Amino acid sequence: MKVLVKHFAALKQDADQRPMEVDLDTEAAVGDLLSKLGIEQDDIGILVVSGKQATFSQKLKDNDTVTLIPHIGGG
Amino acid sequence: MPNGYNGKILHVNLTDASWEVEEPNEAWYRTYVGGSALAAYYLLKNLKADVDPLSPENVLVFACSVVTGAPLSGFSRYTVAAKSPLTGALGRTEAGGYFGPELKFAGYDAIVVKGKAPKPVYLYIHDGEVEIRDAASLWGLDNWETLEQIREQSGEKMVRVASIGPAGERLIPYACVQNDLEHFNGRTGMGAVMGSKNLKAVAARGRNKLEMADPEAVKTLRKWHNDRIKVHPPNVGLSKVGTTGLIKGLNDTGILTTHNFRDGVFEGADKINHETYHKTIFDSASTCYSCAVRCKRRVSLEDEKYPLNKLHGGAEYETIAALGSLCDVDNLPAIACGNQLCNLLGLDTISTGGVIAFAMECFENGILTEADTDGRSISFGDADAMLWLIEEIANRRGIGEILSQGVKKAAEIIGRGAEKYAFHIKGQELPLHDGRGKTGMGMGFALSPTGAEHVETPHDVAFQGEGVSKLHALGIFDPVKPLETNAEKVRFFVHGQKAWQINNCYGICNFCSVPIHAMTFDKLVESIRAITGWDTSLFDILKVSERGTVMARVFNNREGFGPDEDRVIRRWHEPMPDGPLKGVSIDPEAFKDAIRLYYEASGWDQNGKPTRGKLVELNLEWLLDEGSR
Repeated sequence: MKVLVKHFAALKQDADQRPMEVDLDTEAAVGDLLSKLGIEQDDIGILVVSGKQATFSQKLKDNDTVTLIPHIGGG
Repeated sequence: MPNGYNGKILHVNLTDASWEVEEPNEAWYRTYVGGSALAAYYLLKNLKADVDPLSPENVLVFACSVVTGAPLSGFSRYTVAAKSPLTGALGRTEAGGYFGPELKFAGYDAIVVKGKAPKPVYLYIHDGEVEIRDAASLWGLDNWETLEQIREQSGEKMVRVASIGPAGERLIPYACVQNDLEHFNGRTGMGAVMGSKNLKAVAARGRNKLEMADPEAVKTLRKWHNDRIKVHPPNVGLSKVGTTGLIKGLNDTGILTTHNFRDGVFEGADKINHETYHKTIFDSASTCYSCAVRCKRRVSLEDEKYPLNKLHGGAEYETIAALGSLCDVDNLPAIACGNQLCNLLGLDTISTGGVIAFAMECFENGILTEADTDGRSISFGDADAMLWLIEEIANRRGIGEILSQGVKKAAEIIGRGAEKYAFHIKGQELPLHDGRGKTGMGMGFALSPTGAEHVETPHDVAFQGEGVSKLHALGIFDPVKPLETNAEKVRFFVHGQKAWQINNCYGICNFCSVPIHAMTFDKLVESIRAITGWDTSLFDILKVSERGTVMARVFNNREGFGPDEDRVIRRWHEPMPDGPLKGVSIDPEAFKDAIRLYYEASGWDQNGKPTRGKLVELNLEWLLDEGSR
């Protein structure tokens, strides 16, 4: 299946305009996607899948949009 | 008896050692609820404009909320407020830990302190009883010794203590209030106000259980919230590494405050990030009252030069960046040691880091020389210079006497163009966030009534793309663009600020609550209903939040603050020199327009004063005369 990933790690690149398509096995979870992309779970602050708050163990569906934002606020 | 709170406000006059209890009615509690809103109420009622913040006329408020101490994660916070000796504006600062809940269990929702004790005292509040105790033996002690002494004197091991260190006694305008060694009302110099009143500490011990209106519902909500904390990504990260994860996140995105706010990328970031922290100095995780997140860190290190004791709390993000990247220091044990030193002495680490970075940049540019620093070099990157300066400041010794006044006054005293490197807003040093990479946060820094402040509004970056779904309950649907300064950003800020201020009024931790963390808007409303039994709503609690903001604004207006002070620092209007945001700056005119648009959207006039209509809407008619000053 294919999912669309929007990763906002580098703000100026305006990733919103350039989402990345990623091929995944059926039944893959968000955690599997992160492993494939080489992104540590610890580095993710905000995670949204197709408009809804999600968890790392959530299974993905074909054509899901995954939004990843690093820890960037607080103190 | 009311549900969730005591219905009792303690008023203490230190001048004549008297106290009395006020019992406001439910409508009053529903209007002012707690924290920053309740504190602003008492400051407006009891303080006249132009009072010297370090005189007996200043009024000091410790304010829990109607829900502080409920058994839910994050419902632990309280506010300390007074007129600030650092800014001359509203002083206000929140902390978690155990002190707030204990004060509630001891029988009071808030304490209003007036006057000045003839000699050092501390307040001991236990099971409704109030004692003004002699603190002669405590004066001069650090926060650790003070806590130990009060535990011994009270015979209560579990007594919770909010105290000041020597920095507060010496009236350093960025001295903090600390509770139980690990939790800090850090900002705006509330420690100095305590010092000026000869008030060394407030200690609380209580065995009263707070009545919950619907105990079963509270239990169910607690389980739901704590279960969600285990899987909700921002909370998973906080549980695992606390706020230390921000160093990497911010450095990677080009907004890690570095070299006195000049740069957004720090070469030594890897040496101070969460991985290094947890490999080298991490001891254990710690928490606040009833909280499942456990974001607090404890550190320990057996080292001759930088020994770390886990009792003092580990440096969190703001401190790591303040004493670290802001000063170009990449020595993590030294940074943690600086944190420990500030905690023992009672200095706010954010302002202390800002002041040290200012001094280092003055030194770099020849404005300060070794003639000013007892022959010692204080260059950027020198960890031992950073530690030396903390001691000099806390002791108000040599160059430390000047730096102890904060960057604004220090620059005036030093002269020679030092103000070029003195970064503050309304006189307060900046928390460690760069507005060039999140202009909404920049608006928060500019508009916070306390001067530069990071708990005024949520960080734009979290709401990019579908991240904006976290704001749907507020009617925000357009993804937030961190770098833009336009009408969309103002709309985000107006609503985001209200959401964030809910937490400061109700005394709830941002790391557990809306809009980013595990609590959702609907469950938050349910929680407040279940605790208090009130028929409340998101509309109602947002109005409380706005009321708090408007009261704070009126306080500052009558002290003479206006649009000129609603600004950001020079450096944010200059291009970021390097990193992913190279070349990015905030357009000054666009920013001024955004501030003006915020006034309009908020029902304030062009001088930044809330209009008559706004005051009436918020049930603040009693401020009509004050507001028009």
